[in-house]
Amino acid sequence: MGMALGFNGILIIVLSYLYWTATKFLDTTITTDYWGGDGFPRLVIALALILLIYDSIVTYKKLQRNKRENLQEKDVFEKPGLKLLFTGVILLALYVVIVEPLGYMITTALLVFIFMKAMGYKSNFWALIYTVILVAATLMIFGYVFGTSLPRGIGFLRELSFYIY
Amino acid sequence: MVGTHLLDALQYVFDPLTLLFIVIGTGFGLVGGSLPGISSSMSVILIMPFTFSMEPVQAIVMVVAVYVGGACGGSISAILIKTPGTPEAIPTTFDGYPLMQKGQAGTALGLAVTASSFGSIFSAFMMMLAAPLFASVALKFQSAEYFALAVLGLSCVSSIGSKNQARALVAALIGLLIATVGIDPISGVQRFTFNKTFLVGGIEMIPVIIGCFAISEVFENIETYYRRDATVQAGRVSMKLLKFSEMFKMWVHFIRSAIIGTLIGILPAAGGTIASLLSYSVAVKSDKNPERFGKGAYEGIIASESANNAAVGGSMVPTLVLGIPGSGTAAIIMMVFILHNLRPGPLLMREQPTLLYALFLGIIIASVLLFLLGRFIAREFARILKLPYPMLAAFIIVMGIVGAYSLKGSYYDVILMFIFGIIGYLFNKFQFSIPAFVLAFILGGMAEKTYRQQLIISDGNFLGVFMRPISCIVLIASIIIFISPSFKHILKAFSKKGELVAK
Repeated sequence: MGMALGFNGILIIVLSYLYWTATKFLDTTITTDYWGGDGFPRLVIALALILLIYDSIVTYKKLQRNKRENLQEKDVFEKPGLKLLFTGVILLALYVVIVEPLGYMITTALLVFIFMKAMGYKSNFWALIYTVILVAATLMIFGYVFGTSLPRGIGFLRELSFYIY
Repeated sequence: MVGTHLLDALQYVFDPLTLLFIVIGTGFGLVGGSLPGISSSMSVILIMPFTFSMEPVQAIVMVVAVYVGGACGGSISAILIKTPGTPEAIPTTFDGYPLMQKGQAGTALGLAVTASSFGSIFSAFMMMLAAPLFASVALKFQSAEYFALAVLGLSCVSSIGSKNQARALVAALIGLLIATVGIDPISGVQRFTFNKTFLVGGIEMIPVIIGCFAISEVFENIETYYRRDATVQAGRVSMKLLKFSEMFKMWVHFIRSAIIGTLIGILPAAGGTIASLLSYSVAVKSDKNPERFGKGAYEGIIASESANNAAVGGSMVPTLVLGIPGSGTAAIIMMVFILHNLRPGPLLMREQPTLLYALFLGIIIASVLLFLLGRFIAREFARILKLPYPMLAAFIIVMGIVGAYSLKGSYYDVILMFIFGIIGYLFNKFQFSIPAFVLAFILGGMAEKTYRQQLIISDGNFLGVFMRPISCIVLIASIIIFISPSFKHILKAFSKKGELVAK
């Protein structure tokens, strides 16, 4: 529950910052637009802040009660799985960074293969086969059949991609 | 006279070549719909070039079959991998995926296809019987009525997806806030764009949906992967149809959702997404045990799928009668009419009745085909569930990436998808309802814009939305629906107190 309080706190800070941002929106020039561009977001944020403060008070009281009664709290996150989760998130973040320069084919193949290995998939051979099939299938379905323009990369990788998709 | 036209239409539609085109169209729609990022409208656009050399009737029934298939196809991936293939299938995820987790994927798929089929057939009949009447009523809808519909859709946010009502409401409010990102449609002011050009056009629905549902689920499963039971193997998934008597028990949901879908479909620019969300919302609020929803309620799937497919026939009403498309996909279908030298509008109804009957029959045949083709496509799609989880997770991530990217060809959408994946994961952890967040995000733009338009129309009267009869009735109903759970709660508390005092 302490974690939940912390999360509420983060939300309160972010929403307060957004409220402050909303006050900086330019004033409307339409005289009949009574709410203006900032009216709705500010109302929504204000309501969210009120509810979050209310929820934080309720959660805090529960936390105190649990402490008094020596009740064990259930962890929000499962510690043994967090390392793997962080690896996954970092891999996806890296993917986002390199997909533009390297293009869809190489980056996705790398992501799929490394992701599977990171999750403990043992066979290199099947991981490689699956990677090739998945990337080729998505290229064929989305690139050819549905004509989606997937990221091509830059430089020679871009030139090369035109021969493939 | 009607009989002659109907007979002519039957001859056209039951021509083997036309039937083949309907089969191809429905199958193509189902496949396109089941792939994230390939919407019904995109499927129709992709099939359009093949219709150029066809007879007008063949071309039109084929694109309508794609539309029917696409509206149903989104449910396949929504149920099996928690990734709605189309925005219309978002509410199907709420109950479809929990059913899949309970080992009832086949039943969920069967319900989705039955409800889709029923919705399409119902709306096709409505289209034939009362198209001119519906179209004239739809034209009377103004911003106040649209606002009332958005509020009705939002009225269930406190009941879905979370036990903690305050957090569910906060999630919904954050959804409403995210919907305001981009250029304000009334004043033109940039809101929450932080000088980033990719935010100027607002945040698209697809990356948010894929992130919140699919990617967050992958994160959740990665976290618990260390304690997986490796002995559990996914069984063969095949579509299971409930017995007629079981279906009949839920007839109210089938019919009510089909009516909602048809009516919303008729409204210009409302479409299947609003129809399914609204129908789901009404289903939740009208149920005696609303807490069942979001945990695998059959009625949730019926509400969503019956409505989104009913919107297909509904959206054809203003398209055919007035020449005003009822949805984005209907606008593209209108293009097919024009390409074949047919101009939708009042004259078309008079001059080409055979074509209209053919269209009506086309929707019905495509709806029946959903059972056959849906069974096959769902079975093939379900094969991926047998993969070891690292492979399945990689598949979901890659589908998510391609789905988000294919929307606009922008990698910023991929970034947004991951960000919303993390937000979805944290919301799940801290019991902030994701369905409420997504529902509010989708309806938020419509709610704000129409309310402000009504403010302008009513010269600044904040209660102007109550001045029109339809909107007034819908708004009062929404308020009652919204406060009824809290009211019941308070009454319960009072009666408990009374009992204690009496003791």
